[in-house]
Amino acid sequence: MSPVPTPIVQASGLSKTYGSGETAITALDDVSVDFRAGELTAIMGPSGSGKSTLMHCIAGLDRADAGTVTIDGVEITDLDDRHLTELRRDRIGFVFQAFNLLPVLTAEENILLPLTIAGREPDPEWLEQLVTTIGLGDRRHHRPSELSGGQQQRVAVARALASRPAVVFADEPTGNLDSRSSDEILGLLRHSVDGLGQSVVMVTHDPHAASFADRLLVLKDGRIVHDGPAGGADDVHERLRETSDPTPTA
Amino acid sequence: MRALLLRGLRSHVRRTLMTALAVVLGVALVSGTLVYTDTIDRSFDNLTQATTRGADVIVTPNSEQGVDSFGSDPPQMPRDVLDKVRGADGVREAIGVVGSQQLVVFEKNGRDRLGSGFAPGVLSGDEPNADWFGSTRYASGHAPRADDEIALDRKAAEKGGYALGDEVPVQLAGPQRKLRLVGTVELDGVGSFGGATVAITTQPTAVALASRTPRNYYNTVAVRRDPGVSAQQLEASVRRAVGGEATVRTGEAEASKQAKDIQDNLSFLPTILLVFAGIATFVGAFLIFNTFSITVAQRQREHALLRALGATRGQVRRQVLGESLAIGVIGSVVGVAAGLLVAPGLRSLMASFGVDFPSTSTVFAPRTIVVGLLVGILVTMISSFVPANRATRVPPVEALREAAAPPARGRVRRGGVIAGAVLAAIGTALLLLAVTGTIDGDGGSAAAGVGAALLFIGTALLSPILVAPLAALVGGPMTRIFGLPGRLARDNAVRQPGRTAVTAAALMVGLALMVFATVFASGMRETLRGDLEQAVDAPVVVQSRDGGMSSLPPELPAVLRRDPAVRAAGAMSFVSVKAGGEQMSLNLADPGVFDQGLLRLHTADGRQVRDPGPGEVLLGEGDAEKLRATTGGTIVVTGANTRRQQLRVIGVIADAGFTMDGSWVSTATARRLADPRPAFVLVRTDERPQELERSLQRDYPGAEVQSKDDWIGTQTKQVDQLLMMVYALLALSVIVAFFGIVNTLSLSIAERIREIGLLRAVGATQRQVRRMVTVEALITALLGATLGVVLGFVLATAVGVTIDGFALTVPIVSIVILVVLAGLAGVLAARPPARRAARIDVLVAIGDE
Repeated sequence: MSPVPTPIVQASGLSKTYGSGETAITALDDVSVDFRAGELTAIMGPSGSGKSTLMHCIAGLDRADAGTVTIDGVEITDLDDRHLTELRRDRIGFVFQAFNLLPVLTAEENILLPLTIAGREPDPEWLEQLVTTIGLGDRRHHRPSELSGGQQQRVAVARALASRPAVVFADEPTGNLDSRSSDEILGLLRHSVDGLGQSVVMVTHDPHAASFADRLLVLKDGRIVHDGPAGGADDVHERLRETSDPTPTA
Repeated sequence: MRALLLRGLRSHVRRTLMTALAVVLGVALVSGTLVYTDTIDRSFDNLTQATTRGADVIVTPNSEQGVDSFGSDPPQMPRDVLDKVRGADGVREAIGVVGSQQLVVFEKNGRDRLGSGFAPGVLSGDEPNADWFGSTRYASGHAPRADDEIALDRKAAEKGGYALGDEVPVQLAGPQRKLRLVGTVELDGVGSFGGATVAITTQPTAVALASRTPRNYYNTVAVRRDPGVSAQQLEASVRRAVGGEATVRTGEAEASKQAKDIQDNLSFLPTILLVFAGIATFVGAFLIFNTFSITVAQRQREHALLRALGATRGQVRRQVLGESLAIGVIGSVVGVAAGLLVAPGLRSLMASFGVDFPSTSTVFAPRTIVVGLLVGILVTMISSFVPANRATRVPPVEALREAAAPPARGRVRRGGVIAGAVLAAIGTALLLLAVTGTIDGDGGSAAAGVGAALLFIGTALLSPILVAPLAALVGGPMTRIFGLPGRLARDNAVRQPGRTAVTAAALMVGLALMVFATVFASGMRETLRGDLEQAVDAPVVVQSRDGGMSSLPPELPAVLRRDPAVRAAGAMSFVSVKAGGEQMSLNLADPGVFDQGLLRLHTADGRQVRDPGPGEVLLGEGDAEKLRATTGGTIVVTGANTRRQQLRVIGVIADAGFTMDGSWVSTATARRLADPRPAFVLVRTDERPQELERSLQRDYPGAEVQSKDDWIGTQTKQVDQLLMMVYALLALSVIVAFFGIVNTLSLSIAERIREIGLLRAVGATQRQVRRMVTVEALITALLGATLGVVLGFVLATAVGVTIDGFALTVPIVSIVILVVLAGLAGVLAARPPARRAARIDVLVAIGDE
């Protein structure tokens, strides 16, 4: 009997529209979804499906026109900027497609940046564990420009984990990486869930990446069109095919 | 976070230094001004202390504070004062000095004055064996013993190339005399006397040179006390002895009074210089603002990332402000130190315009450091406040977006334009209030300064809407000449109109003030010329050879009148008096100046002005209004010798013009108030100026005889000289603006590295890229120049119309030259960034980041 996973992020009735009148684009159309703790969830969908907007809204980076978002028990819809900022700082970790490391800081300083911003003393053991986990070894005092893309993204993952957030959001974390580095990053995210008990939400367009997830959400035209276990890469392909428009076969 | 700040500064060394440089220049001028003026003050302190040392009590003539007369000495005491002093209790020794500060020591040619017109020629006629200075040290030779002997200060002797035994031509009241140099002196503790020339003669020689009479004899009596008598006791007993006839002070009090008088007289100097330092700092603020605006825009993703990772707005703001604090501190520290180099520069600048003050050891007061640091740091912080705030408004979600290239065509912020219009309107209103005298005094100066600053800021905020049309105007021909690079340059200038506008605005400020000065000076010149041409009806004018800076020997008018070829000659001069508690300037005219038509003015009822008689005054329109006096009434004035004189108003002069609007008394009346010496002599003669000058050559070689037109030319030339000085002081502001263009372009190019790489990839040559950058700089510079010319012209017109009879002119040639120079400055400023743009590596630029 495994314990029933509790939702770490809850979205209900999220809607967001860009522009107005005839050119209006509905990015999210009444989306309700829960993300369970201790899970790696992949969000997929064609471009323009609203997957990025969904992530921005549930991560507190952007505000929806309607609906509510609760992160780790805190309703963020009406939070003011200061509390939202603190929430981001203490409960959320981010991994970006473009790594987004500060070029003037060393790898280790980049990892500790969220703690530095919060003015908290880093736990040396935790830092050691992180550095070991991402396998950075003796390159921890190098600047990002002296690291490979894969190494930079591993630093970014460590940075996301540094403050032991409630949830980590990863936006196309493998988008800028070759397949070997991609696998390392995905393995790392997987490990953070299995070994460290993290919750991870990942937006990706790569079925192979999605196959590392526990759960797969597929968005289309601002709505969730699939929600189920991810399975292998072939299963993901299958799910995507099912949810796309019927197209005449050549 | 602090590590992040420091690393950021270090990794953008060039940008940091460029921004700091803007701070350095402004602060250096502030600190330089303080060092320069402190040094002058200290030097005068030393000088007055040295000249009063050894005297326990000093007796000087009674004199009215703050009034003097053109080229004349303060009043003198009668000869019997010395005997009275000697009769006082506690006096061991008393010596009287017959002196003057109007001595002209000539160069060897006997024609040109040694030293500049501003520096006094000090004559000291000592009693035999009296060591008046107490600290005079003969560097060579000995003190004058015979009446044809003279001693000079060592510097003056060197400058004139005089050796012991040489004849030195000197002149004071009468004809030139030649005295034999027998010694050179140094003042202990003071290496030089500034520009002043000091000469020592025997007392009879000094009396003869200065035409002293027993009534006007001594300048100073120095007293030493008997043993056991204090200086205060001596002061009291000497005061009892001389009664109210003279002023008695202890040596110390006299020294500090003299020093204070000098400081009061010179207080205009730091004020003026600090105004220019303020302008340079103000221009620097534009540069700082722009640099921070651009870097904040460029680091949008970095700030968004910090925000996404949980940094608060406050943390982001502190990050930017921390950087500006660091730059402010670096710039200010360097600037304060650089002030030590600027101070001698200011000194030689002023000296080159004839304003030379003594300067001994450099004074670097703690106050200079504090003020310099405060100004630099505050200006930097304030200038970066808006950009810092902008940085906090970056939405965190920006961190997730791809790096955005700068927009293809920027929009003009409407809020900025509205704010600009409001600020410009407030500024204009303040300026008008100040210019029309609604607010006057110190409040008026402050209103004018704040008003001008607001007008500049307002225009800077308004000017983005002008960027596009002006870029089209300048860019049109550029496109035709340079093709694609010209077009791209135009489009790039319009991309971020705010950025281009602020860069241009920095240049605008300096240029506007230059144009203002040019238009105003040209107006003044024409006004002066017009007024003089209208009023002066003498074909020939005599003045001293240094352009009328120093006065003429008082005997000269009489000498001229004795010349059979001269039909009329009358001297003009000026004295200042006190009337109604305020300083008032009186023009004075010899008999005949009006009656013989050498000068033609008329009263309000259209009658020709006649010579004022004894005790009579002709009031100028301005004075009549100020004193609320009318024809038939009286005014009471107090002269430099503290005597009060009632003057009967015999008429009010009308339409004399701005420069000739003044009140007139006869020379004889003025003599009762002060000791005026002629400024110039108006002459009606059948001789040509050269012939007259030749006849004066033997006795008065320092007198220059000119035709009326030539003389008016030398008068107006002084306006040009002043203009040149203003140019020189404004140049620093323009240099700061120049760095602004370099900095903005460099930063913009860093932003467009991919585009430029792409241009190169599709075949643009390095030359074309360089051209593109250069044309953009040219557009920016010309925008600043255009705005500057318009603003400067408007300001000058606004000030000009308030001046009665001001001749507004448009010095087109000067303005065109200024605009062309601004354009050249722009092209020059584009060189470093253009070179860097051309060197961009194509592969790196278009590859992944």
